[in-house]
Amino acid sequence: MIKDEHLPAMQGMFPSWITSCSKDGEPNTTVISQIWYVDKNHVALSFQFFNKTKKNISLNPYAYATITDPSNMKQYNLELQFDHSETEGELFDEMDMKLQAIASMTGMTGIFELQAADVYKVLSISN
Amino acid sequence: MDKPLQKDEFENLKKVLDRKTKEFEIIKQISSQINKTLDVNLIASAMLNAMDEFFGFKYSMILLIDEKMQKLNVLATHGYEIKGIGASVKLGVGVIGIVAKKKKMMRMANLGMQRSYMNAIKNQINPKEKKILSDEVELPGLKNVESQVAIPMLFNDELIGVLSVESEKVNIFNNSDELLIGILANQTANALQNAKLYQLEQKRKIELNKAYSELEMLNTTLEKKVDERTKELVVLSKKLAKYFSPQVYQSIFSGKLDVKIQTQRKPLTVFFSDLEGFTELTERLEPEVLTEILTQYLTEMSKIAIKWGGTIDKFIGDALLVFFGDPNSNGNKEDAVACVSMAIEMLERLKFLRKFWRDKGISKPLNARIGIHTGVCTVGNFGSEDRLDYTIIGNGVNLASRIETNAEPNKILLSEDTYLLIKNNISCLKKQKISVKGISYPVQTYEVLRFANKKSKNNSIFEKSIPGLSMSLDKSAIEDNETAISLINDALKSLQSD
Repeated sequence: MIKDEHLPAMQGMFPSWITSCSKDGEPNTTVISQIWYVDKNHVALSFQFFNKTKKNISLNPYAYATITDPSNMKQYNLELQFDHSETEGELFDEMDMKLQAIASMTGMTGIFELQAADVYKVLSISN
Repeated sequence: MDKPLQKDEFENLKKVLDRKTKEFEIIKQISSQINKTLDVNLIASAMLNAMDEFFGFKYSMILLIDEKMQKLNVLATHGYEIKGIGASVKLGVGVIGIVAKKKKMMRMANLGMQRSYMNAIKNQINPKEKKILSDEVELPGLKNVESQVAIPMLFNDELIGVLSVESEKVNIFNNSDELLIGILANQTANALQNAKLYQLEQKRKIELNKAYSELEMLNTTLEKKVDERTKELVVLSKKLAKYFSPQVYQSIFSGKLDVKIQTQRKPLTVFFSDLEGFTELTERLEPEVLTEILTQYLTEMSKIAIKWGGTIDKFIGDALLVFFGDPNSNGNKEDAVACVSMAIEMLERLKFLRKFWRDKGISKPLNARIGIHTGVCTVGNFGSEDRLDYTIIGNGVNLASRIETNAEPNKILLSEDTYLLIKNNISCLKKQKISVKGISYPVQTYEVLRFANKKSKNNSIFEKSIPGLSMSLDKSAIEDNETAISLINDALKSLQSD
């Protein structure tokens, strides 16, 4: 599903948008720093703070994301479905390390910590 | 069934293969270069230079872990305006710090933006909470870094340091760069570890040498001290020697005789002498003169005693106690003969001393009485743990002393036990029996006929004795020759008339 051409858009160069819906169907769009590539059929979002997205997803697992390739400004739309959360393992470690590196550089160690890597199944990708 | 490769696919694969082959060659080249030296700094700078030259990594640095301080120190940098060597990164801080802490490589594509994002969040945090936050951390490297690959350098899973490559361009490193830097980091780790081991060995060698030379110095000092102490001991022992008989001294210092309370019963020939009239002399003479006379007398007598192998037990004023048979013995008979011979020489010497003293104005002649007895005595170290005396005790000693008091002036009186041992060598005259306290039977004594030693070459002396007859003739001593002849004639007549 995810091809090589999509990968530059998942480096976190450009912020991504993610839209989720409440139980009642009220949409909420927010900016996140990065959508992480997991494998051809999965992506991950970092869960650091409990926010509205997290709350919505816990009640309605479907989400819609928009990512941008910084080299050509191409945008891709992804339909996502929440799959599971990881609090350990390679994916978690990689995301955690990067967050810690940045946090420690900006003097935010201990505040900005990865709680979990939320893995979503990619249902579709469109331009 | 696989589809045959399309032409462009084939070309692509060939390109990839060519590139891989070239990379492999370069890695080999770099590897051999950094393994040429065992200098840590040279290895690091050679690696960073090669990475720029062959692969175009413009900014790079190598940091080494300092486990104790929980930080990484910059060992070498390449491409930066400020070299930054000696700067450090705390474990767990920044990309490099995290890589070191987790021992996992990291590739960042857009550090600048992520930092801005993080700072934006930081600004939204409640000012109360903000207090616990620290300022942005100064880290070695590019100020406007965007892309970074940091690889932990591991050796046997142990962290040596971190190899970091940076760029101010966004998202510049890809998977194959990551792989390549990983391989180079690995090579660096091996080379550095080798160098570290070598330097450790060198350091140990130096330490070993130092320890060795210290030991050598200690040895020298010790030898010197032992030498000094030995010299002191030699001086001391020489002083001590004067208090001992030379035989005893030799035995103690050669280790044959242990200095501890230990005694044994042995057949000894015991010699006793004193000066008749000496006590009387002490009242008449100045102490200085007396000391001189006594010293001279005892010195001369000691010399003779030593010459004949006697053990000088002690001086008691003018009295002298010498024994033969311990610590060295030449056999009972030989010891007894030596003892009597010594006594004879002592009397001869005393004759000379008397003349000497007379010349010095001492009118009263000093005469010696000598008593000798051979018997079993107890010999060894007597006394307490602190103060020991090497001496002899027993009835034999008392008997020798008792015989001495019965001796006539300038005569040597022997017990029968001694006489029986020496009679073949030295002529004697049978004398009275004496009774001694502690001995139930009277002791037969014999007097040594002066100068009757068979070895004596003095022809002017004639001495013979058989039971009932004793003759002693010293022509040189006869003043009235006619009286002497008439005495011998009277004796002849008395014998012939029977």
